[in-house]
Amino acid sequence: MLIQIMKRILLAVLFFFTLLLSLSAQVRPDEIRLDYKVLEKGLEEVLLELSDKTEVNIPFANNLIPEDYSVTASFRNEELGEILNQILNKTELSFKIVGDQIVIIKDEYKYAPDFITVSGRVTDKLSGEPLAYCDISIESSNKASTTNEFGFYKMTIPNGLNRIYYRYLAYEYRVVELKAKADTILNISMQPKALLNEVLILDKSVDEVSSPDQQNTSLALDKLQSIASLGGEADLASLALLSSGVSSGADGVGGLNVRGGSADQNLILLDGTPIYGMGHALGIFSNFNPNIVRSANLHKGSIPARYNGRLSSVLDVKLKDGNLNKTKGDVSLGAIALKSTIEGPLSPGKSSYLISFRRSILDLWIQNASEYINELNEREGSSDFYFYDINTKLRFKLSNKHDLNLSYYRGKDELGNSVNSDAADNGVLTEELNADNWQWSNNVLSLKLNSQYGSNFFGKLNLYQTSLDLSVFDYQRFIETSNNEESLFYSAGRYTSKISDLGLKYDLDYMLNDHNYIRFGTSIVRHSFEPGVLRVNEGDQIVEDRNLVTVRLLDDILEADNRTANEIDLYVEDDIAIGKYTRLNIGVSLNSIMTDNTNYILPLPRIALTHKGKVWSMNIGLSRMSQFQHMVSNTALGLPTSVWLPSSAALKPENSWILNAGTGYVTDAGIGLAVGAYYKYMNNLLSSQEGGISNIGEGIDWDQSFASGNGSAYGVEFDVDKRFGNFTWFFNYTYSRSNRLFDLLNNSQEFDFQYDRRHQFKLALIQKINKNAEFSLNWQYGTGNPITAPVELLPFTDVNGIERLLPIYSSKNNTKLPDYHRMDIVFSFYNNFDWAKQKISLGLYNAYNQRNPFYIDLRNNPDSPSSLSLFQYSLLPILPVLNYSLAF
Amino acid sequence: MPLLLLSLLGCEDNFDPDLANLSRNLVVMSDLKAGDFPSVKLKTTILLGELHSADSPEDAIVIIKPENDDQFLLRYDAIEERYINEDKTIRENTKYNLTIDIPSFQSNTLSASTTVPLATSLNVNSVKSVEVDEANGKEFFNISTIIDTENLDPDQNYYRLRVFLEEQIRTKNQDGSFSFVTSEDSDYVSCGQGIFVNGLTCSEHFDGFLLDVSSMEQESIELDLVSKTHDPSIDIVASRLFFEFSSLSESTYNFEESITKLIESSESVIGEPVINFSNIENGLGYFGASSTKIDTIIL
Repeated sequence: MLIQIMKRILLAVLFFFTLLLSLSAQVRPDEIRLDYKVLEKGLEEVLLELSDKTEVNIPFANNLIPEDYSVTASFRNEELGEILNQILNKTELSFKIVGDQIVIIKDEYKYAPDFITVSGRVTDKLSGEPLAYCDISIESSNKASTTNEFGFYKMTIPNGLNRIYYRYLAYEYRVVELKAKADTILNISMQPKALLNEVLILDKSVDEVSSPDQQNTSLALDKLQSIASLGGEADLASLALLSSGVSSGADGVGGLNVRGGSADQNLILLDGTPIYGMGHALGIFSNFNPNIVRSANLHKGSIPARYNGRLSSVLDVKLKDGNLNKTKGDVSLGAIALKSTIEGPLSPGKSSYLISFRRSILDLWIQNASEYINELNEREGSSDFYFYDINTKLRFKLSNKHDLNLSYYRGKDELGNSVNSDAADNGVLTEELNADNWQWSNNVLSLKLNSQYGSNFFGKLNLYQTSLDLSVFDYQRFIETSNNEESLFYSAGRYTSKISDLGLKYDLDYMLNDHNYIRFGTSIVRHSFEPGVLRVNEGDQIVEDRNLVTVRLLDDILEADNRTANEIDLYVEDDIAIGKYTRLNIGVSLNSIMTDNTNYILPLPRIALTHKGKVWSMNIGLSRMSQFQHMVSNTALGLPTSVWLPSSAALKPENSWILNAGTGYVTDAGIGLAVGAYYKYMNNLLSSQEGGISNIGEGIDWDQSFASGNGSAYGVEFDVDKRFGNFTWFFNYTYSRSNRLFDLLNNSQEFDFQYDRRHQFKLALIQKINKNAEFSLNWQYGTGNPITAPVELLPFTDVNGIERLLPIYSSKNNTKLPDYHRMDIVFSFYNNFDWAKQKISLGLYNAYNQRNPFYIDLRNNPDSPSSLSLFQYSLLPILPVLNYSLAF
Repeated sequence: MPLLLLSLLGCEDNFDPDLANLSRNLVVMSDLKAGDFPSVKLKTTILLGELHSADSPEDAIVIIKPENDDQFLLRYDAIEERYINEDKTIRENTKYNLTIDIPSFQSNTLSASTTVPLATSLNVNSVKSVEVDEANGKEFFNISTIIDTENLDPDQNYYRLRVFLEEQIRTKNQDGSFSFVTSEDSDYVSCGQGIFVNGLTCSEHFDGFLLDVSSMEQESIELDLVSKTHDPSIDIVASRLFFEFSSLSESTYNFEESITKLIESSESVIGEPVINFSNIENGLGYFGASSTKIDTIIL
């Protein structure tokens, strides 16, 4: 019994293995071998014969079979699959094995290359303007790309069906399913998510999530209109100040100081043309009307070779070109300024215009308020201040590949003050006059031709003229009358600084392949400088009518020096893609200047390695920068009394090395984290000698009278942000040090840089309440700026017997102002009408009225008139944020 | 000024830098003049918020020791409010060490040293031109002169130049006779009031031009005396120009320069602070020296 059971089991196992062997031995239909010979027969007939010979079913659709196709072939002991491959070789047909059948199918990719190129332009759907740096990626591939400055992109993808994603901040993302077997041009237009005066909410499920980029910070223009600002006047400068590593004087006075550099070390580009931007209102506001800014990138480190001319940073601002399709505009009125923009097509789709105007309205009340305050203090006189800027652009699409742009910018500030006071004491009459006038203006005229040569070559030719004109006049007069004898003392000053550049710049982009994006170019610039500084007092007989010193009188005396310099720059850089997320940017720039019978040539290498993965990122970069134009400021307050000077035999070009590294991480919740560090070394920095600039003019050997020295800066920055959803926020912390060492300053001892805020903390929150309302809050904290303050007083009697008390300064920047902190809040309300969209902003600037010191002064103590004390002056107390804007 | 405008919006508060001194310091001011007796002025600083009155300590032990010679004591002269020793004479090309002790004021000894430079003759070359113009009913005259600096001592870099004008005025008396009065019109030729030197700024607080010849490229100094208002009713019969040329020690030069810059910058709305120069250990001020020679030109 047991034996029989064993036999059955054995038989069953044998049967099972036999079955397996028979299955494995079954030949696939395309592997059946046969001899076959055919002479000029139709394909349909051939397929039927093969089916008969092999007993393999070969189904096909008759309409697929080309009628005029005949087959002539001979095969010996060849596999059926190979025979079919050869006889279908010259058709669009292929075969597919389905079970034991061979199905004839149409294969449109049969002759397509494995990879094809897709290229095109990405534009704004409404305005037709190109979108630069739009992210493009393939879902199932290791491929990613971005558009260049022209909105053009090009990438190699596998043939067949691809799903291509287009993502651009504040635009609806686009997904395109492309099924292509040949190189394809794919132009994409993208819909803005929110127009002016609309609530914008980003969604992390569709928008790109990445950690904050600390080297190339794309200023969040989507938040520009949301974040509270002075008077409700949204501005790039206040937005940039919220970035880590950026500091300024109190309330933004003095401009932007990036990573321990000074304000003149920022290269500010207006559509690619340098602007000697001092900003409006002493730097509190930028030169740019925010309503027409298309993009703004602040390069703090890893600066590519195509950017040259400044030591510390690049603020690359692109303005709108004008709507090619539809006339649009906006107008807004705030506590600070009135601004308006209109843009539209000159010829739809072919040419456009843009005109934008902004003017402050502060003078309406400053004059009256200052008169009232002077009256309260028994003085006569008033103050006045205004600024304006105007942008005009014309754009002509000469063809699909050539754009011509003509643009003009002008911005101007004027600040005036005149106060007169009289007093009588024991028969002595005194009259005191203080008057001054400060003006500065920028002009930028540019003609640009953007061209595309072929499918991967782009050129940008820019002929421009950019200028800064600064003039300051101050006049103090004191008349004392006693016993009919009149004594007059006065001091007057005239400061002028004009710089004008005439430049020709040619930038070329070459998309060599998917891995190499090469940029190279050159620029030739003729710089003209006219610095002039003059001070006179009652001892100078050159002013004959001492009772009336006027601007014209001093202008007649002052002979500003005229200097010119010719600068030629060359650069080349290669942006190398290493995989989908890693890029290596390597380049070199050669800068040269011919001035004052002296030539300087500086090679400036740049290298940056960036990895931007979906979860974590890292960057490391080394840049050498140079600067041929020196700005010497005559005051630590950041007031516009700066004189621009060219390099010369005595004034060597400034240069710097910047080393930066950082890493970032994105959490599952879409929160981006970044930490980075930098070190910057600067040499040949220029400064006025102690006491300030006293005399610059024709025939004066003034360039020997400056101090030259070195500086270094280092710091660590932490950034955290959440950019998606109804509640967005970011904060950052910066620890930084910046110091200077000049042989002729501070007894050759190192001292802290005047904008060396050791610790800075910045926070911004935006809560979307509903589709019509949002609330925002931002808070800034920074340790005080270094200042030079007297520590005691020195009694001094001069040879004329005049006794004075002189302040004793122990060292330069020997103390710090109190810490700066401020909170701004604003509620914004949005309403959409059929014909327009309106926005009303209501809030508070400096909400808890912190008295942040702006400067200090040594003067008689009103509580004890026979003693001198230090007083700190605060600039901006709690102020209303009030702004109304209408976009149509 | 714009600060006034900006502060219209804001407020003012007391500012108390934590580094402000809580006690006064001693200030030494001494320029040893070759051929003169030694003199040292001593004062205290004034703290911020204090009344404007500086003390002149009278109980200091002020000692000067010439190199290779015996030290001597200076006594306090209450009239001059300084320490002097009229029995001693300062010699050129000699190094002097100063020590000051005021146990009642501070425990540390103040000390400094200086070397008296050799006097240098200026070698005024010539009067370049004299012009008399009529304008607005007044007479003007222009004078230029060139001072050769080529032969200066290469080891001596610091100088001060003062120029004085002496005029002999003739006035007619009632009896028909004439009186002659000599006036030294130092106001006219002092800083900025009729005298200009290319590339140099005059310090009115020291009534002279400060020169650092190590930084000068020119081999001569050109003086322009211009626009002297001459009243025709005053009968000037003779004029002489005095050129007081002093070789300065480095400390005297630095002190005078820093004080000049400090005063000028404090009077300017856009001036920069100037770090006070001092070569006094444990104190402030300076201990320097000078030697002077005078050249004369008869106009």
